[in-house]
Amino acid sequence: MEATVALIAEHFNGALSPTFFELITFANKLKIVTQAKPTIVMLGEEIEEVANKATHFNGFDVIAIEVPGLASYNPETYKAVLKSFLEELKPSFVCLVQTSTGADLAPALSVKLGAACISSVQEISSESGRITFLRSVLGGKAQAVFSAMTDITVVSIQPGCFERADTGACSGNVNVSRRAYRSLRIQDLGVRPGPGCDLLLSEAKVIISAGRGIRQKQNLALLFELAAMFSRSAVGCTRPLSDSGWLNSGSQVGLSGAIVSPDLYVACGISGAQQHIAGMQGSGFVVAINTDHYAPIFNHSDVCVVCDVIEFAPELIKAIAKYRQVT
Amino acid sequence: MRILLCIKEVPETDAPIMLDQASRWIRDNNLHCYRMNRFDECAVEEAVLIKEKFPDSILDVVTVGPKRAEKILLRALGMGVDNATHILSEHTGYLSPFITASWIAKFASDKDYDLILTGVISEDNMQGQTGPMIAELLSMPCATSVIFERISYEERLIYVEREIESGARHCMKILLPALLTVQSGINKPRYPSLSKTLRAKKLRIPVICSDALLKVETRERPELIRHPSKSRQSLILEGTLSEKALELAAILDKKSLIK
Repeated sequence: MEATVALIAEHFNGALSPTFFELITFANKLKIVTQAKPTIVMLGEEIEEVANKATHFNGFDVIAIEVPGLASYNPETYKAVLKSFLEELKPSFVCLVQTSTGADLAPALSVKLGAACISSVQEISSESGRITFLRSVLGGKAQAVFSAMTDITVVSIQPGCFERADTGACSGNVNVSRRAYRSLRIQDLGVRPGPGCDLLLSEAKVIISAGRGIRQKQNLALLFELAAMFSRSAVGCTRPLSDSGWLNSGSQVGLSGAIVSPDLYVACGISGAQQHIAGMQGSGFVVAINTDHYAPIFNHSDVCVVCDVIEFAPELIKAIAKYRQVT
Repeated sequence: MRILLCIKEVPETDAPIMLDQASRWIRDNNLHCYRMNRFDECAVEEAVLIKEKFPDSILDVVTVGPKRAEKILLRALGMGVDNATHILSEHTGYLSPFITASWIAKFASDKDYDLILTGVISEDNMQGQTGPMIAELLSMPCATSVIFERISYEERLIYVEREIESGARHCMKILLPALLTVQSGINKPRYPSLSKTLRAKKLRIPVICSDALLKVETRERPELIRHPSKSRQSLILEGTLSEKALELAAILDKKSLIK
């Protein structure tokens, strides 16, 4: 029997999740090394329209499972329906994106299927028949390459690591079936919108971003002073700072906050966890200031300044002032 | 309410780390400074807050780790947890979340917990698998990345808000018993109190040998560990503070980033 790969596609309000296309890119890479046939799997009520969209540009078949009453993500229903479906499909790989949904589903599915589970995968490769997956560990301070030792592997990919690449293939078959499941223990009450990204941050050409390395809330003033040296600038921060309320959550850069791409990004006292990097890697020019020589942020920076940002910022403000006087 | 907290020790992430090519993992030694995973601290704090609302609650904490990991159990007791259990594993190198989850699920299976809390992710392995796997092994409903919870004990329900993309919140009502993985920002973990810490130090924390609990095979393994590759040129500036500042200003000016 031909091996299959199940791609669990996310959708919301009739639209495919933006990360769906990254999953397709990953599936094409997996297809090269496994020769297995990818099949898109999606769940929901009134699913046919979005299922038809899912097969555009990639040529993969879609299996859409219509579940009456499943308006959005309900963990219990998803896990139960996918388990019974995947046990029949017998895929060699089940692939998801490490979104809030994927992170919720992947470990549970792996337990149900007796599969290995490898999360937040950034690269795939194959050496003498063994397929390996690269992922970051320890806040990005190291990278580990993993392989599975089971017949089935559940893989979730890190958002932002597999760029959209349409193959231009014609559409595959869309098969809609129906399964009833009533969630008994989880009642879905819908989604409340988040604080949204601060407008200043999303439109800024220069972002001065603060991490735990600034140590005290009052030191933020120094970063606002530095930001004031540039036009169309804003001050952003990492998750720990918005968690502690030093800046509002609309200022947070990263996967759980804003994805930004200014001309200049200055990371001040930021170590550079993967979830933060994913939020700023599209920046034009990146400068990082950090006391820790091994901070992962330096690997993603054009210029690295190894020192205490609180001592360095006043010097930088003076130096920039000199250039501004000249011009 | 009977609540179980699952916590993990992690190497201090602010310090340089050493890699071990033999085990293909982070070198496990006492040169690294170990502490409680920050997300697990939030889980402990949330449980202590629940106990303040429901004073009859009993809080148990469990960890899987070497002898050294007893330190984080003491910290949890100092924060207000009632009982601790140490699942002792002297395993070095990568320990699969599935193995950890299997041991904890086995430990919890006969104890009738109403609620199990753990951090959304560990700072070292960063997969966020252990919590949802424990829930699955115990056939409990599970909510990940929880940023708010409220218990209606009479109805045996817990209302939760999960943090999803862009800070939006997915709201759900879950029937207890349930497992939640806690996101940072849900609370501000307290410091352990001196009196509770001193009392905890006099306790003998029960130790269960992991091998005696359950034999579980790993399902995935690391083939290689390395320092990360660079995605940009990473030019390191040299000199005094003001020399570095001037050089950086010159670079920014050349790139027309100073206007």
